[in-house]
Amino acid sequence: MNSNTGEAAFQSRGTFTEDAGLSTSPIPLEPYYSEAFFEQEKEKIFRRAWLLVAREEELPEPGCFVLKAIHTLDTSIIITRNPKGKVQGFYNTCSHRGSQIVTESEGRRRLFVCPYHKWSYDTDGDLKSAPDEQNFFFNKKDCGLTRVATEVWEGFVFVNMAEQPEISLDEYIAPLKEYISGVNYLGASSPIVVEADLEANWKVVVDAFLESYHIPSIHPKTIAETFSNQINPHARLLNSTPLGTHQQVSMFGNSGLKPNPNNRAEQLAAGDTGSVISAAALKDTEAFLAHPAINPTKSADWSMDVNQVFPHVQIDWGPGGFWVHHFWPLSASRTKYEVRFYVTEAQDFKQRFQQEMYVARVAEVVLEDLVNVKRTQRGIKNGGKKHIQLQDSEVGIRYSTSRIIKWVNSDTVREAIK
Amino acid sequence: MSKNLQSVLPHGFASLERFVDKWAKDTSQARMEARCTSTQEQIIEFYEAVLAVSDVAMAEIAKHPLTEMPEQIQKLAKLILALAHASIAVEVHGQPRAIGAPFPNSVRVSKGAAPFG
Repeated sequence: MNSNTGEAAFQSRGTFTEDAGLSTSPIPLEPYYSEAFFEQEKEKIFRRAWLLVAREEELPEPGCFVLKAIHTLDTSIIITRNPKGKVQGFYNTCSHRGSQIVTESEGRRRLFVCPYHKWSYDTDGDLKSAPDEQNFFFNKKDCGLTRVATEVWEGFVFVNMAEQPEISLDEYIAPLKEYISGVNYLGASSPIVVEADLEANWKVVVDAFLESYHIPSIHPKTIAETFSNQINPHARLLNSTPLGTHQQVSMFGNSGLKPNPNNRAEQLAAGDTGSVISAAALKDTEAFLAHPAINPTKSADWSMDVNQVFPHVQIDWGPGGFWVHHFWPLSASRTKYEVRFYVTEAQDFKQRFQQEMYVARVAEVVLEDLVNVKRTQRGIKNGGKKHIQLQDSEVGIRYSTSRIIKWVNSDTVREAIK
Repeated sequence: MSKNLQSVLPHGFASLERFVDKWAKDTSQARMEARCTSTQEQIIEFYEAVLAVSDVAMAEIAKHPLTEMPEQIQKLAKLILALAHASIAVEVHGQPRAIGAPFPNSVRVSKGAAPFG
């Protein structure tokens, strides 16, 4: 763990980059606009890596299902919970003539019935019945839905799109697991969901959420005062922790921030934490905050941590709870973005109003990022620039990009995660 | 059905009746859109009118469990929730929408908090 502590840390040049064993040279820009590189990312990363797609709470009981789009591979996976409680994933493709079976995004059912000829499957994907069955030549046992490797870790549901995953989820997330296991995911059953279609390469978007250097300039009115102050005016990082193919960065927070008395709606909502990126009462979060991987430097001036779960997800947490970003590449220059903010269910209307203040604010932050990433992509795609310069507190970007390039260049997953 | 004969808000909140159609929406997304499609003058007018009675309104709403609000209380609660969105224009941007942000745009709250999300 490499950390910044004390006022002096925010003055001279930091050492996160070198401590992580990374080069300090400019990094190549071609992966950010090349269609050929995108095709490699699809095959070498998204078809080989374990992909975090859901929370287990989305399937509260046996018979519940969700349909999750794997946008990058232009497909969707039915994730079910069977009567024994097991979570399993299947291609959304009928064994008969290949029709999609499920069109709803979520629901609860005992049988999945294909709309085309009414073949029906149970929550284990087994074919239960096919009209005029005796006129077919098949062995019914061979006609179940095609399985997608699915594993659950601490409530996070991962799928692997390889026919035969090269490594287990356990091995894939080992360093991350060691570092962050045991976190109490507050409010995991009630997310607020914000989505956007972004006109930028997915790495441009991922990068924007791995550093807080941009916050004073891109979010001056919405969140700048949360992430910087006079001691740390450029919102330098508190900490950087490489975790194999994953990583964590810990961001500075302005502990002196108080609601502006002129902001009367904000005053009406004012909770205990005083932070605009928090929506839970402080008492609920004490145990949560005690975890060693949450605010790892235990700094009084802390805003949030970003846990990059390779390749396309970030699990973030702050004083009020956690939220999860999903960045799905659609092409070299388009990204489907979804963020889920997990909030504990409001117990009274005051809390509900606080949550609405939170929703209204975060939607604006997303909007500011949407504008910013589009502008960046337009600047990048002309190919005039071959490299970009990164400062020490942008170590997360350097780490992420180097890992992506490593995956693309690795023949095996074991080699890629080394 | 005549709105003139029966108010849609609880007794004592007549000053907010004229804002119901535009602002008392069922979802966070619709409340955000109400802000984005209003002029700053309209937003300030709504913001000031709600804040003038917000303490009384909060107390009135607090008498009812979140999941069992009578119809009129629900309408009032949705107006208060819309204040959160109006405050973005008044307390954050100083204009209806973020500076330089396109409208319409693809940012959407596809699921809000319960109830009225």
